[in-house]
Parts: sequence; structure tokens; C-alpha cells
Amino acid sequence: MTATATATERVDAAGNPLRRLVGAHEFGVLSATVLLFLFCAFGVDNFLTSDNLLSVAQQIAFIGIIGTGMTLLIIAGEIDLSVGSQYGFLSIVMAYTVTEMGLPVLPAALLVIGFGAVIGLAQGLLTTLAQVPSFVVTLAGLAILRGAALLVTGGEPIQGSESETYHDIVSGFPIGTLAAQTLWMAAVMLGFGWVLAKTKFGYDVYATGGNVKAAVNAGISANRVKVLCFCVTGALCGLAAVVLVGWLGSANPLTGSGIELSVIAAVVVGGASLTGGVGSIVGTLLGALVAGLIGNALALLGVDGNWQQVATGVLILAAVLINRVVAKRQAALR
Amino acid sequence: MSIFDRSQGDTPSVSRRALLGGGLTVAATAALAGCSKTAAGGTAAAAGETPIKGKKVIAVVHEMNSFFPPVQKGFEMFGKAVGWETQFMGPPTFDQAAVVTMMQNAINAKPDGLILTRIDETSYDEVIKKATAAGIPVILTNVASKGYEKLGVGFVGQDFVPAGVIAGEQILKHVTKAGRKDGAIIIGKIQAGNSALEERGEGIRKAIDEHNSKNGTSFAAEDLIVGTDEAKAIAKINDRYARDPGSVAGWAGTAFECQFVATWAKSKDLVGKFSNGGFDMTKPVLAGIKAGSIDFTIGQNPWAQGWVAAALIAQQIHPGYPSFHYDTGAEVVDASNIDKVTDREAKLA
Repeated sequence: MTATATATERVDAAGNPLRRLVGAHEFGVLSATVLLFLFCAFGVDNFLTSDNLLSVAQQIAFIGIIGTGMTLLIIAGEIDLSVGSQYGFLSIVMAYTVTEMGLPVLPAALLVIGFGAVIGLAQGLLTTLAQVPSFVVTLAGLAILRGAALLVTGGEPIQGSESETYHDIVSGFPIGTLAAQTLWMAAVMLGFGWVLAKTKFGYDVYATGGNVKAAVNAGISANRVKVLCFCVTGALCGLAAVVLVGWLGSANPLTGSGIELSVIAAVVVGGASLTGGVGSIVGTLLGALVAGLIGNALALLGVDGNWQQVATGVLILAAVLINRVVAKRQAALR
Repeated sequence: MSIFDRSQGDTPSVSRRALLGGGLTVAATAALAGCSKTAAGGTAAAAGETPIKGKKVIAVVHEMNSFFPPVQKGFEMFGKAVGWETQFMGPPTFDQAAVVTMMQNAINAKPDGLILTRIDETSYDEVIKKATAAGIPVILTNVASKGYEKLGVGFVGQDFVPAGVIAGEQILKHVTKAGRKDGAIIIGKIQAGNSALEERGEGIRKAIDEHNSKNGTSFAAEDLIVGTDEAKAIAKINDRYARDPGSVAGWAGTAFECQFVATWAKSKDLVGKFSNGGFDMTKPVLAGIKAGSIDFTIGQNPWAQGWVAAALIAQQIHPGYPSFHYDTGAEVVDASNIDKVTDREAKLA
């Protein structure tokens, strides 16, 4: 076969929508999600109802919102282990500013989102300028912010706002049983999906994570890109906190304990590489969906709590392996 | 080398990978099927035909810690006796949103009854209202928090403030017996933001204040959140003690923290240097009382929190009596009755 013929075949393959779908990086996790969905649809009672499916979409909203920031960070070659503590601490700040300081909801929400961005800025600067690995910086952040949440509250939950409007905007049901949390997640993911795929900043994020030296040589300010990704992650933790407090009506200092692992799992199951340069918002959405579907299916199947942990681990591993098998097949087809 | 790696010498055959993929699917399905079978096992020994036979009842608790196994056993034993399909779940560590998610999933499973814990005054109300609006009978167990009555549901559990007062009186009895007239009484907590623990702590403080004003002593209450991870808890206990050893008169946990204090005290040869007590009847707590490293514990009959909660749900399903508050009490367990209590609790194993 000649080089020209091979090139022509590649062009043809790229133009074929089916080949493009099969060749997409997310095809593996998409396959796992579809398989899981089919299993649940045919094997799990009460699964295939609009109420249940919309409820799953609502449940993954927080993982989806925070996972969007984490996706940017992981693609840029960094990680944030403090997202659970940020989310918890910012929930406390939201409830505190509204009930203890008497701030109206909107300024309080903007303050919380801004505060999240500032936390991200601090962690980003420590990572890039002080050259402390993000793993270490954010591990410290995890402890500091959880401690701060406990200090502010004395360990007790804080009541949030009783505003009906606030509740309706962040967690009402604007269309049938579709929860507002799901729409917030969709808006965040669509927005940042577009940023990653269509803007120079998105290109810079991939370039920074793919090969930081090459990115710097190409004139990209890698440090600036990384710091911005930390800021976005912090701001999205703030947004998740605003939505949570509006939904539940209170903030608990233990909110978000361990959620960082679920968020990282969603991003990685979604096909992102922890070494940077690879990943997508669609993949993260599918990763979160896999985790949400598994939790939901196990509950509907009547699986007891301790077994749910075991089965969740087995099924996530299965999903990742299916993803990997499909990815290898794709590589062979290219 | 990766078993999936094509680039390594001989190419793995499609059949081998298919076998692996198939095996994985079978393993996952078997895990699910095995789990389902376990959960549905309660129906195997179903009782005779009754109007409540074959019902599906789900319990969701805020954390699957070492307190809940007897609750689960009580719930499952009642379910087995009446031929229910039972399911008991909760997150491995507490997280508000994770608990709400589990409760929502439980509602989506369309059960005939729900047993839930409500550990703060607002977060779980929407989901409880959703369940009751869907016609699912709900009862709270273990923790209900203030204002639960407005939801129209019953509660099976301890009255926490009075139970805290009893715990406070117990620790003061042991502390004063040791000759102390002042010092810190450390109120241990395994979890922040749990209204039950806060209320017990409030009761302990109340008892200390009353004791001080009646007897002219100057004991001071001090909070210490230790968590449920034993190694971390012991480190925190040690740090507090090391800060000012002479100031510690006693440790009064709001849950089973006294077992961590006992482990730490034994390792440091400090047993008997201060009083130690708390709540719950976990195996290490009972063993500690037997060994003398724990002075007392306050039981809250966890078995009843599963069994009675299930029974109240049953009568709510048929013939339809509304649930009510059932106080599971505050049983003082110490050296005087430890053998009897240990024998009783062993029956739950």
C-alpha cells in the first residue's frame, strides 16, 4: 500500500461519522455507559422511569460541576485533592454569610464563587511559583479547609437561607421532574466543553498538559494556564456549594468528605490521563454517569450497603477495562 | 506487560480478550446477583400468609459505622419473621449529599416502607416529604433532630439530652470517687454536625453545671472531635492529654469514643489515671468495661432501633396505625452488670 493511498483512507475514515464516533477518545466510556444502561434497563425493576433517570441526573450534578474544573486541571497536568474540603468550606461560608451576616443571597453567592476562585489562585500560585507539587499543596488545602469549616461552625450544621426563590433557582423543578441542579451542571459542562474545544485557552490547556516544555517554547504561559485552571476549579466548588445550600437548606462542616475521590474517578473513568494532555468534559460527564448509574442500580436491585461498596468497585473497574479494551481496538483500527 | 497490550510480541487472540471481557462481565453480574440474593434472602424463611408478607422495606442510615450492625440485625430479623424483602444501606463515611442521594435511590425503588436517620433539621426534609407524598410510610430511627414531628413521621431512638445528663452524672460519679474536685471533662465526638451527639454533649454539660453549683466543684467541659478512624482518634486523644496531662479529670464520649480512649490509655499505661465512659455497646466498649479500662457506657438499645422501627412500619402498612415516638432508653452499663449485658449482646452476633 502506498503512502498516498493510506492518507486517502485516513481522510475517508475521518469523514465517516460512524468511524469518527468509533475513533473518538470517549468511545470506550460511552460503550461502558451504554452497556451498563442496557443492563439496568432490562434487568433492574423501576430503573427505566423518567423520575428515576432524572433523579440520577440530579444526583451526579455536584460531581459533574466540580468534575468540570478537575478535568481542566488534570488535562493541564495538575490535580486538586482539596475539592471536597473547598466544597464543604464554601458551603459553610454560603450559609454563614446569609444567616449570620445577613447578606442577600445573590451577593453571598458571588462572594462564595469568588472566594473559591481565590482559594484556587492561592493553590495555583503555590504550585507554579513555589514549585510545590499540586498533590502536596492541595493535600494541605484539604486539611486546612476542612479544619476551617469545623472551626467556623464548632462542628455543628449551619442553617441556610429560607428564600423560596433561591431554592427554586438552584434546586427547583423548572421542567416537569427535571431538577435545576441538572441544568446547572449542563450549563457548566456545555460552557467549559466549548471553552476546551473551541478556544485558544482550551488549546493551551491541552498543550500545557501534553508537553509543558513544548508549550512554553510555543509561547504559551503554562503557569498562567495552570493557575487559571485552579481558579476555575475553586470557583466551581463555590458554585456547587451555592447550589447545595439552596437545595438542602443547611451546610454541614463534613460536606464533601471523600468527594474528591469520586470526582477524580469520574474524570479518569471518562478517559482523562493523570499524566496530563488527555481528557474531555464529555468523558467526565460519562464517567460521572457510570458512577451514578451504578449507585442507583445497586439500590434498586436491593443490594445491601456494604455489598454496594464492593460491587461499585468491581463495576468501576469493569467500566475502565471495557474502556481500555475499546481504546486498544481503536488504536488497532487507526 | 499488560495483558491488553498488542505491541508486546505475540498478539493476544480476540478470543482471549473476549474471554476476559466476558469473564469480567460475568464477575460483575455475579457480584450484583450475589448481592441481590443476599438482600432478598430475608424472604426465604417467610412467615405464613399475612397482609404484610412480601413487602419491600429499605433502611438508609447516615453512616455505616460500628454502631449500626445491631440496628441492621434487628431490622432484618423482624423482616425475616414477617416475610419482607429488606435492604440496609448508608455511605461508608458521612456526607450530607451522599445520604440524600441514597434516600432518593431508595424512594425510586418504590419500597413499601422506609426507615431513615435525620441528623440535622433541614437537609433530609425534602426527600422525606417526597417519600410520604408518594404514599411510602417513613419512620426515623436513631437520630430524628428537632422539628421532625412536623413531617408527620414517628421516631425510634433515644431522648438525647436526658441521656447526656445521665452520662454526665455517671462521669462525675467516677471522677469524684477518684477524689477530683476540678479539671477538664473531655466531651468526645466521633462526628461533627450530628445533632444527636450535640444534644448528648449538651446533656453532659448540663450535668456538669448542676454538679458544680450544688457541690462547689469546678469541672470544665471541653469538646474534642476525634472521628471514627481509630489511629487518628488515638493521636488526637494523645495530643490533648500531652498538652496538659494533669488537667484531664475524665473522658465522656457522646458515642463510642471511650473505646479509643481505652486503647490509648492501655498503650500508655494510664488506665485508672482518669475516668472514662460514653455511649453505645460496641464489642470493644463492653470489653473495655470488663477489663476496667472503661468505667461505664450508656446503651440506647440499637436492636430496638431496627426491630421496633420495622414493627412500627409494619403496623403503618397494615392495618394503618400512624407511627409514634418510641424512646429506646438510656441503659447504664458498668462493672455491676457487664456480664449480663455482654451475654445478651453476644446473641446479636
